[in-house]
Amino acid sequence: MLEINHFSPVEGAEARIELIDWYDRPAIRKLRLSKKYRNQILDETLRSRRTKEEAEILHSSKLAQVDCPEIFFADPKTSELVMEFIPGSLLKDYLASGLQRAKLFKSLGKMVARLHKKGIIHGDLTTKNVILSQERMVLIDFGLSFVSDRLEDKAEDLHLLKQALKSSSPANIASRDFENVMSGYQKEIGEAFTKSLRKQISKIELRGRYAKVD
Amino acid sequence: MICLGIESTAHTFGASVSELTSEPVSFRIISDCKDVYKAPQGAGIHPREASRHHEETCSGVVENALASAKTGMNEIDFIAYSAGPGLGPCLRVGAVVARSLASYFCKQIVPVNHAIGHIELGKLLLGLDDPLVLLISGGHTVITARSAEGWRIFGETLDLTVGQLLDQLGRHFGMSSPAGPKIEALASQLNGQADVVGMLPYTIKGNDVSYSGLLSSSKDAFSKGISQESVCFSVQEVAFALLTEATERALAFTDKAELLVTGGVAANQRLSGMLKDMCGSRGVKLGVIPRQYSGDCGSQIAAAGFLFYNDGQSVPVNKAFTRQSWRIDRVNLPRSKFG
Repeated sequence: MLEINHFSPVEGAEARIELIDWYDRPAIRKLRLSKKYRNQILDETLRSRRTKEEAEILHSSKLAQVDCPEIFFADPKTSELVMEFIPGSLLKDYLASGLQRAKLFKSLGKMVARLHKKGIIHGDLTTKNVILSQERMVLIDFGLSFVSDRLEDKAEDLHLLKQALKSSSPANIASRDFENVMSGYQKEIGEAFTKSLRKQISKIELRGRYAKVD
Repeated sequence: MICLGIESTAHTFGASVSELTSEPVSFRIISDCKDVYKAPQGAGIHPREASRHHEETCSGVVENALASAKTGMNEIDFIAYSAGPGLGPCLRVGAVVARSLASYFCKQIVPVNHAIGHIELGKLLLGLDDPLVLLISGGHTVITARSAEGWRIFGETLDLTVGQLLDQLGRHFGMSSPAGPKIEALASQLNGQADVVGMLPYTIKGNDVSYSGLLSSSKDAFSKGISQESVCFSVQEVAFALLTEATERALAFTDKAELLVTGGVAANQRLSGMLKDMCGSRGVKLGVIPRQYSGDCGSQIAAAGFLFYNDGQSVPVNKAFTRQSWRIDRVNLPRSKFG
């Protein structure tokens, strides 16, 4: 019997996510919903493009040695994706236990570095998008991912993670967590690149509205 | 308790007499007067020119606010002024007015963060308790909510604000700022012309939006002969869908049951229509600031002034400074039920 403690059907902001039976295997069905507020052509283009890109990028991520769900079925026309169901708990919930906090964030940094090496930008790195499943650490929700080798895009990817950490933990804990991410990242990708990346992250931060130079 | 609120962050010099009573808590705007600096056609706000405008109009605006409230300085309990963020020369005019009145009439003085003013006024006028806030204006494009420590930012623009996007596109068309209402009017005159929505970049990163690419592509489309109506329509569709999508993601993340939309761009009907659809589908209560108070005004400074005054955050006259860069997540808030 699978232990399912992170999953309940969600009507997310972008998609409806359900647990289904896929030829006798539990699977996740992600259906991108049409948004009434959005211009129809824009809506259709976005949904089909994101579905196609998500499937392609999940595949490339595997080749980058990053653990992520396997794709069983994809249809850009209906904006539908069926993929492997990963039992386990979300990193966000697991962190409450306080166990291995530093190690987990270092592993997350390593995963991000592997993606970036292959020019994959996750686009939505948060502790809600990582599942811990026994020995596996699995990155999920590639719905906003894209391919790019620009330093700016890689820096922004990590900047978003830093912001997400800040919006869910007190400042001192968030900054320690982020430092662990960066140390795992550097170990995988090297010191020189990490240094220029850090510079770019500070630049992005200063671009924020009314950011104080300090 | 009666407050004189003074606003001078950018194009508007405003003054308001407002009252807050406890038990039952009730907030009343007794008067709200303003004079808005008009930039020349095709140009933006020049900080020096705007501050000159404020210097010339400030005494009249304050006098009007007191007169139309049928009150005098003696009845005022304290003065609140917008201390930032904003344009330095403009902010300093408001601070000078506040300091002069405070020292001459022996009143307490409270520095207020302008963005918190927009939010507090919205909460008081619309009766919202703990909303997710979408603050959209020339100076801000931010999605924020209260936490124990203060206002936490869940999403914001990575470059231009939505107000700047509209103003800069408007300037390109030779309009004067603020261009939002003119762009909205043109967009509604599309009348069967083909839009270019599909040609414009739709840039969302996590909960953050980016508008710089959208601005350059819109200008390009215009220079390739696409009509102003068509460009305005398409820019609105893309810019506002981005905001709505980012807001919906933040609502899903924070689980808030209310959404407050405030700031100058909140007056746009197409945007509030989109947000209404989105909130309807999620069962979220939507509050959009009344048009009259969407732009900068003294009442917003008074509304937030009460919060800080009651928390003992008044300052001596020689400490009543301005801060051009003062992010909303850096403001010390009173401890509250969120703490």
